[in-house]
Amino acid sequence: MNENYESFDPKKAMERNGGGEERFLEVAEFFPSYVAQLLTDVDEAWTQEDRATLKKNSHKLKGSLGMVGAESAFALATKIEKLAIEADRDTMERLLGELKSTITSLTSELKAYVKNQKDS
Amino acid sequence: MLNSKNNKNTSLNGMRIFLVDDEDILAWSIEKELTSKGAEVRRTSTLREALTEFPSFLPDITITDLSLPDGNGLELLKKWQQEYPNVPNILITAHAAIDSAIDALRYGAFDYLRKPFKMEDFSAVLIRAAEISKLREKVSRLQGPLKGKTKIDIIGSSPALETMKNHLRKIAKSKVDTILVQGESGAGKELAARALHYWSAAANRPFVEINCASIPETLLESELFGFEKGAFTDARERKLGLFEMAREGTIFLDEIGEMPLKLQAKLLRVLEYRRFKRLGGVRDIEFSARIVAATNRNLLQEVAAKNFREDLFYRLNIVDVKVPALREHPTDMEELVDFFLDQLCAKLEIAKPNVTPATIAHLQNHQWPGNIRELRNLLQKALVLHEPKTLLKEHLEFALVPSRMEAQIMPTTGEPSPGAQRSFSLTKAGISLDNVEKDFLEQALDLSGNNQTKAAELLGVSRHTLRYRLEKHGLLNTTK
Repeated sequence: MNENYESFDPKKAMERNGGGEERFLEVAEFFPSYVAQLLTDVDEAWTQEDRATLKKNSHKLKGSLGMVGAESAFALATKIEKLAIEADRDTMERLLGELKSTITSLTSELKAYVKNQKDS
Repeated sequence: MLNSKNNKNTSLNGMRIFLVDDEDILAWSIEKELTSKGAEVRRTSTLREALTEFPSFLPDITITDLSLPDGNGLELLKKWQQEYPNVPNILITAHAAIDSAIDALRYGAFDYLRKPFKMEDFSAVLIRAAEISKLREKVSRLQGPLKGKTKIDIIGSSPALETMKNHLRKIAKSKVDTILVQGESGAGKELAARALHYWSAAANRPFVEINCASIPETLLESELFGFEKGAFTDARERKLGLFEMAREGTIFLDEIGEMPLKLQAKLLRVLEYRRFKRLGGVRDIEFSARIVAATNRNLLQEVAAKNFREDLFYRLNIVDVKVPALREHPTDMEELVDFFLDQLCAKLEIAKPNVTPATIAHLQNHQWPGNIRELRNLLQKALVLHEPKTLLKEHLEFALVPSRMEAQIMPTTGEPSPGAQRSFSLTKAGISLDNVEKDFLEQALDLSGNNQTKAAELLGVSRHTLRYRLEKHGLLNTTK
C-alpha cells in the first residue's frame, strides 16, 4: 500500500491518529484545506519578515505534517523552524519553495488516497 | 483497529481528560480516541483558555503541549502540580530539545511524549496515568479530610450546639447521601452543610453550592445540570452543571423550599436514580456526590400548602439536622460575641473592645429574628459607629424587633387609664418581676459605665440598695 504514495505513509498516519483506516480517511479528507491555511500562515510570517512567528507557525505545521506521516515535508518544516531566526534570505526562500512543492504533492496524493479508499 | 464502539471497558472509561494543544489534527484524533474509550475530553488551544476552563472541568488527567501560541505549557504544568497534585500531567511536544523533557519531569510531569507518536503508545501512557489518578484519589479519600486546609469552627458549647455538632460529625462520617438541614434564616445552615462536607471523608472533593431562591427557574436548571452546546440559543459551549462539578464531593442546595415545582420533579428523579442529563444532552451522567439541602421553611407545611412535593420532601428528609435559633442557645452569646469581635476587629483594623456581662445579658435577652447573621451585623455596626473601648448596651442598635423584655413591657404612651398613672403597661402574657429588675439594673450599669453611684441615681435608689439588688442578681462583681 505504501509504495503507491511517495509523500506520505498511510501506515504511519494510521498509527499516529489511531482509529484505523476509517479515522485516517477523515483526516485525509480535511487535511488539504487545513494544511493550506497553515502554509499561508508560514508564508505570511515570512513575507512580513516576522521570524519569531515564522518559527512558531512552522512548528505548528510540522506537527500537522507528522500526523499524516509526511516525512519529507515534516523534515523540511523542522529545518525551517530551526533556521527561522538566523537563516539568510536565500536559504529560507529555497526551503520554503521546497516545502510548498512537497506539500502540493502531498495534498494531491492525499486526495488520490481518499478517492481510492472510497472507490474500493 | 483501535476504533471500536464497544471499546469503553477500559480504565479510561468515565475519566475526564483536559487537553491543551493548538494543533488541530492531533487534538481531533486524541479526542476521538479517548472518547471512544469512554473518557470525556475538554480541549483548549491556548494557555489563557486552559487557565480559564480548567477549574470548571476539574479533570482526572491533563495533556499539555509544550509550545502554545501564547506561552509555554510548562507554566500550566507548574501551576497544576502545585494546586492539583493528584492530577497526572502528560506533556507532549514536537520540540526535540532534551532540556524540555528534563524540565517537564523535574516539574512533576507524569510522562513526556515527543510528537509524532503512535496513538497506541499514547493510549498506554494515558491508561497508566488513569490508574495513578484513581490510586491517588483513593489514597486521598482514605487519608480523610485535608488537615488544616479548611477548618470548620462551630462556635458555642451550649447543650443545643453540642448536640448539633455531635449529629453533624456522625452524619458526616456516615454513608448517608442525602441530608436535610433545617433552621431559621441566619442560624448557620450553610456552616452546618460545610461541616457535613469538611468533616467527611470527601473533604478534599469539591463543595459546590447554589441558592435556589436567588436564580430564575430556567437558569437554575442549567446551573444544576449543565447544558450541551446548542441546547438553546445562547448555549455556544458545553457547560457543566453543579452535579457534575461536585463529582464525589457535596452539593449544597440552599433554600430548597424555594425551588419551583417543575424543577422539584426533575430533582426527585435525579435523586432517585443518581443520574441526570445535561440540558439538550442524551447521555445519562451518573453522580455520587452527597446532597445537602437546606431550608428555613417548614417543609411539611409547604407540602400541605402544595408548594413542595411530598415525595421530594421524604426523599430529602432521610436524615435531618436542626440548626437551633440563636435565642435557643443564649448561653453561647459570650463565646459568639468574642469570636465575632476578634474577626471583625481584625477586619476593621481596630482594637477589640471589652464586653461587660451586662452587655452580654442584654444580648441574651434579644429575640434574634435574624439569628447569628443579625448578631454579627449588629456588632459590626457598633464597632464602625462607636469604635468603643468597652462595648455597652447603648452601642447596640437592634433592627426592628425589640428584646424579649421590651416586647413585654413597653413605656405607656397616650392617655393613662382612668384612676391610674402607669409608667409601664403589663400585657396579658404577664411578666417576671425579677427579670424586669435585673434588666433595669443592667441598663443602669450600662448607661453609667458600671459606676454604682450613677447607676443608683438613675434608678432612684441608694447605693446600698443598688448593691443589695446587684448581689441578688449576681451582677455585683461586674461593677465598680
